[in-house]
Amino acid sequence: MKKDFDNAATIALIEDYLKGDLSAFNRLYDSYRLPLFNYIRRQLNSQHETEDIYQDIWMSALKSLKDFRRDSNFTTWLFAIAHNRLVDYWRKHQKLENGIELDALSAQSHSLEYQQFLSDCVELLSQLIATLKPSQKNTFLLQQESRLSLEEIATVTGTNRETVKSRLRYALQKLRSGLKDCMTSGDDHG
Amino acid sequence: MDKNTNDKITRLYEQLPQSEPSEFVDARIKKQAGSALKHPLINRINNKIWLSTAAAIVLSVGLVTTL
Repeated sequence: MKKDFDNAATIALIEDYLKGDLSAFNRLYDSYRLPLFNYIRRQLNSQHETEDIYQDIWMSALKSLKDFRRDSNFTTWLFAIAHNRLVDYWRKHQKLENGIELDALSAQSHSLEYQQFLSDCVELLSQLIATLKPSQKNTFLLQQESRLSLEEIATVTGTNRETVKSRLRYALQKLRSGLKDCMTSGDDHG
Repeated sequence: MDKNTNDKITRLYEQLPQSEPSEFVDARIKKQAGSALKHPLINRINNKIWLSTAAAIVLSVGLVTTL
């Protein structure tokens, strides 16, 4: 289960870093590394382009970190930079990319039958995420990766709470409907 | 019902394989973080050197004038 980010601890790391402690930045970086990377990667087809954008985001963040307001939420701030960078990318490329390839599944201590069932469901989920409308996909991924509230996602995406709620509702409806068998049979396999 | 199925979707989402940046990218970003730190420090040191030089000039001029 993913944990929410602890904003007070994050701000303490930022302050330590700005005072000259590079290890504080490394700890901050490590905690955002996977959520931020996967937020981008699941919206682009290319690992290479994802890495370029991911680097740009951190370079921008480093540049403006000294101006980061300590009463703000760092996760909102960082994901807003990421969101804006993705919007720039989409504008530049005039296309909206889909999905990722599945290459591995984490092993679970369940029966082979259940592992196969879970694997099929996970793959199905990945395919369904790829077919979501870009704005719905973006909102869904932000919620999953950043664990931000509806209001905070609205801040990141420059919309309002109702728009975020509606995008999430449509995204989840589509996922629920596509994962119908997984949702019902999942209980039997535990 | 919705809450329950949404939680299931989240649990399923957490099973998705995670992608990660290459070590090269990690190293580049961390290096940049180190470089960004150096600039203010160098500035501070330079400021101190400049202030010391200015103080020395003022003192020298003061001394010459007095003599």
